[in-house]
Amino acid sequence: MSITIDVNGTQHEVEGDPSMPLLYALRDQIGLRGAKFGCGLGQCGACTVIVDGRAVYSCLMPISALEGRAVTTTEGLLEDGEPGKVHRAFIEEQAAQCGYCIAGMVMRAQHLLERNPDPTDDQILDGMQTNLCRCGTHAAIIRAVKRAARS
Amino acid sequence: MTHRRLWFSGFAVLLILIAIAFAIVWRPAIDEIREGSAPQVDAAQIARGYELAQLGNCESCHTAENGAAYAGGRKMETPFGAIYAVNITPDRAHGIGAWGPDAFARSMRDGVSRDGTHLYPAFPYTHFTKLTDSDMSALYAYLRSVPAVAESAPENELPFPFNIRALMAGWNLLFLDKDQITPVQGEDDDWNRGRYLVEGLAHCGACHTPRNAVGAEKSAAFLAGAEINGWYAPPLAGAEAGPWNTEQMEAYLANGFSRAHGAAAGPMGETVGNLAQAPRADITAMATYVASLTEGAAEELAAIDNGVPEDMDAAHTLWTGACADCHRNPVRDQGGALNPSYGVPLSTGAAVRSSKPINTLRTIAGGIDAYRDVGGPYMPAFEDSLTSAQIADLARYVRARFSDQAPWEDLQERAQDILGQVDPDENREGDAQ
Repeated sequence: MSITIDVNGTQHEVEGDPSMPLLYALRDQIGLRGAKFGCGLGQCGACTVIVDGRAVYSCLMPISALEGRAVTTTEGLLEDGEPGKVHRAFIEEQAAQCGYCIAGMVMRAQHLLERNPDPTDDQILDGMQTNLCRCGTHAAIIRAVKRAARS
Repeated sequence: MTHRRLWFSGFAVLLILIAIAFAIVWRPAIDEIREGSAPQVDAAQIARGYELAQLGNCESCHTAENGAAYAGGRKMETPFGAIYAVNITPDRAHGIGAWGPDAFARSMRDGVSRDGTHLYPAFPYTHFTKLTDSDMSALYAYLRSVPAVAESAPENELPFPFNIRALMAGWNLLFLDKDQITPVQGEDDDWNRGRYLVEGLAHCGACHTPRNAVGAEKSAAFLAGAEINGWYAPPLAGAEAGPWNTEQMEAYLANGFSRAHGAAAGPMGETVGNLAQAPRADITAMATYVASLTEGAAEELAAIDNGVPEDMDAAHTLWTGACADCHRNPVRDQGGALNPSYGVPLSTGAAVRSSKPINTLRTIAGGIDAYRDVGGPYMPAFEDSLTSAQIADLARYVRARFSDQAPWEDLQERAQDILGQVDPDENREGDAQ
């Protein structure tokens, strides 16, 4: 069975079971490997992407639910092939240690800033708290979100 | 009788009626206490007051989303309009710092503010009126010990005539039962202690007892289940109540989870966060009393799985991709290994068995996030990834597959309501609620 998904403004034909998670389609068929598989249970946020302006766990998002909806991944935030605003803030704050959670963190931050361009510290904590980092670089990640908001 | 005399006696009757109404309505202001003149209390009393405040769930209503503890501002929707919980920190101007113990006790027992105005029964003084004097003093001592916050709650949004506080005097005449709770002979200490807490400080009935047309709890339907704040507080007594025993209820109240009943979500999740800080003996007592309300029905519920319902292919696909990884059948699909929901079959949850779909819809939409800071049940929210139609479809699917109950009505409409109401950013922090 084939389903058409709009990812970063491009239509992609995806083959497979319609219950397949968006994450698998992105990584294995479309070739966008930014979003990561962490827990597969909607607990860690490493797979976070934006669907129709909302941050979602792509590991729990069956492709059958995506008809007519627009998916944005961390690759979609590139500006002319260069790191986008949120990416740059993460790089400048050296917010990645192992980096596994960072694509999800970037998408969660992007979603937060789209809804609230000037968040307070509490709003950042609140907005980012669904995403986990096992290295413990949360302080740098929060600085990166603040930097992205300022820039 | 001349017209003049008739007029005169009519006037006299009117005056008497006015005097009676005045006597019913009028309550004197109680003087402010002088700054620094609050009674001396010892640390043990404050500590006991803290425990009582957890049992009473005071902080949940008297704290706004991301607000300072006890500083008020949380909005409560009622059928009569929106009411905001007030600041009960010891700030003299914005909180209750100028209230002496007698003014505090009168507000808790009579629903009358220090200045003599009537409070609304969204503040459950109909329950707090049952508190013993020593519990009242301990609670007062604790509330004086929390940090003062100089913030005022927004004004209530109540239309005429509900904005007339004096009307509450008549309401109190009809519905405020100030009789103290006396021990029932033949029941043990735990049961009696539990009844005192459940009917008094813990005010379980404020959510779980249905209310009449003027917002008073129906005493004939005590803990029979009620819809409140967009959730259904399930029946704890009566024919529709689930089969609880003391051990199950104790685990549920203390941890928010019982293997035989599933997880506490929504406003109950918040309540558990407070009850978890209360002394275990009090939780055991409450569990003993509540479980006794369904005596004779405490056998384990059999797990139900009717298989994939016909004509629900689209919902089955959603289920497989979004739900099954956690909720799959641990015995059939996993060789008996536990699944991430600890092998608890979905059919044991009150939400799926309930006569009303709202808890299932709300849990799919908002997830369970009340225990993030303390550890406990968790479920991700799907309101950002699924549409209201898809959430309604999933609710229809789990009802058909994992219960032996009739299908729910109006799912699509209710799902739309819920997704319209829930502000995703607000919900993230976890409620609910």
